[in-house]
Amino acid sequence: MNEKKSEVLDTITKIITSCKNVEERSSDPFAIDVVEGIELLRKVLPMLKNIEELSLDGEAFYRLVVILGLQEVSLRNRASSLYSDPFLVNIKLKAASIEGLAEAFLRSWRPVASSECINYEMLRESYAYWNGLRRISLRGVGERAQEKGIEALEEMGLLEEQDIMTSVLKEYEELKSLKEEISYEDFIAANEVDERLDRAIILSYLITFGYVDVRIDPISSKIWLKAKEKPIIPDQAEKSSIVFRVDGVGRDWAGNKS
Amino acid sequence: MELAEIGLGIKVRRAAQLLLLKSHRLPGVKGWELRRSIGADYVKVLKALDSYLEQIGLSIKVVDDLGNTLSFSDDESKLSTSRFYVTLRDPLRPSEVRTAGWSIDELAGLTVALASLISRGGKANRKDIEDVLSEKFPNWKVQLHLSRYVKAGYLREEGETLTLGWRTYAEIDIDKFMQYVLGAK
Repeated sequence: MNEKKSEVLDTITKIITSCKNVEERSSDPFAIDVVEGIELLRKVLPMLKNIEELSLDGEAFYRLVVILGLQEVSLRNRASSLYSDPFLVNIKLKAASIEGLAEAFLRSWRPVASSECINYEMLRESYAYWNGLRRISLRGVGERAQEKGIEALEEMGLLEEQDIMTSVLKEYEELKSLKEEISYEDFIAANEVDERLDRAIILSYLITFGYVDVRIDPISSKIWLKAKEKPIIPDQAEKSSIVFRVDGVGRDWAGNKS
Repeated sequence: MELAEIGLGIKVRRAAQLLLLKSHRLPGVKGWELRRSIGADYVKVLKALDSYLEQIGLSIKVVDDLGNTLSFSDDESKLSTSRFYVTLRDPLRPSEVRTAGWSIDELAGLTVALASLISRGGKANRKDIEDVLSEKFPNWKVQLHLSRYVKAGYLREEGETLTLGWRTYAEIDIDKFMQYVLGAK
C-alpha cells in the first residue's frame, strides 16, 4: 500500500514539475494534457489522507488550472490576426538578410520623440539644495589619511553601509546554495536576540533589493524565502509591506518599559 | 480671437510640454496626469495638438497597459489609465538611424528578437531567443545586443523569460511589423 502511495505522490509531483516547466520556459502549454491530469488527480484523491498529501494534490490542481489559462491565452493569440506561426517566422528569419530585417523594422518603427531639459526654476532649486547640503568633514584626516581611513569612513557614514551590503551578499550566496525555500523562522534562527535582529535587518535588505522571493502561505501564514537566480526588482511589481516578528524582541522592549 | 480659443491655445502648449519633455524615468504621460494638469477637456486639447504635430511629422500615440494602441475616440476610462506618447509619424531612413546610434546589426538583431517573441505570443525563454540570434551573430554580440534591447525598453527581462517591453508597444506597429518581416528579403 505504502509503495503504491509513494508512486501516486511521485506522479502528482511530476504533474507539478511539468506544469512549472511549461510556465517558466513559456513553452507550448498544449504539451500538458490538462484533462488527463485532472482525471488522474480525481482518481487518486481518496488515497490521500494527511495535510501534506492533500496540499500536494491542491498544488497540482492549481498548476493544471494555470496551464488551462495559458492554453486559453495561446488560443486567443492564434485566433488573432497578429498570429504568425513560430516555425514559419523562424524559417523566414533564417532566410532573410541582415539588411532586409533591418529594413522591415525601420518601416514599422516610429520612435518616441522626447527631450530632457533643465529650466531656470530647476537650477534655482538645485542651487538652494546644494547650499543646504551638510559639508562632509574630513577634519583630522589630512596627512594621516592612511592611518585614520576607517575612522574617516565611519564618520562619513560609509563604512556601516558597506558592512551591511557585504553581509547581504554573503547571505544571498548562502540562500542561493540552498536551492530550495527556507522558512523565515529558520532563516533568522540564532541564540542571541541581537543576532536574530541583525539577520532580520539583512533579510529586509535582501527583499528590498530584489535578491529574495517571499511567499506567504495563506493557510498557515508561514513565510517562505527563496533566493532568486539573478537579483531583480520588477518594474511593475505589487508593492507591499511585510511585518516580521523577531522572537524575544517584544519581551525585551516590554521589560525595558516597565 | 475669442477667449475660448486663447484658453485652448494655452492648454495645447501645456500639453506639448508635458508630452515632449521627459518628466519620469520613462517618456510619455498617463491620461489621468494630463486630465489633472490640463483639465477635463484634455482629449479635445490633445486632438488639437495632434493636428498641429501632424504638420511637423509627429503624432500622438496612446497605448494601454496591455500594449494595445487606442484612439482618442475610445472610452475616457480607458484613456485615463493609458500612456500618451509623441512619436514620429513617418519611418526613418537607414542613414538617419545610424546617426541615432543604432547599427544595422543591432536593428536586425532586434527584428529577430521581436519577431520571435511576437510569434510565441509575446513571451519566450531567453535561451530560445539567444539560440535564434546565435545563428547569425557570435555569442558575445548576442549578449551585448540583448542587454541593449532590455536597457532601451524594447524587451523586458523577468528571470529567464523575455517579453515585449513598453517601447515596442509605443514605437512599433506590431501588425505591420510582422507583415514586413514575413516579406523581408
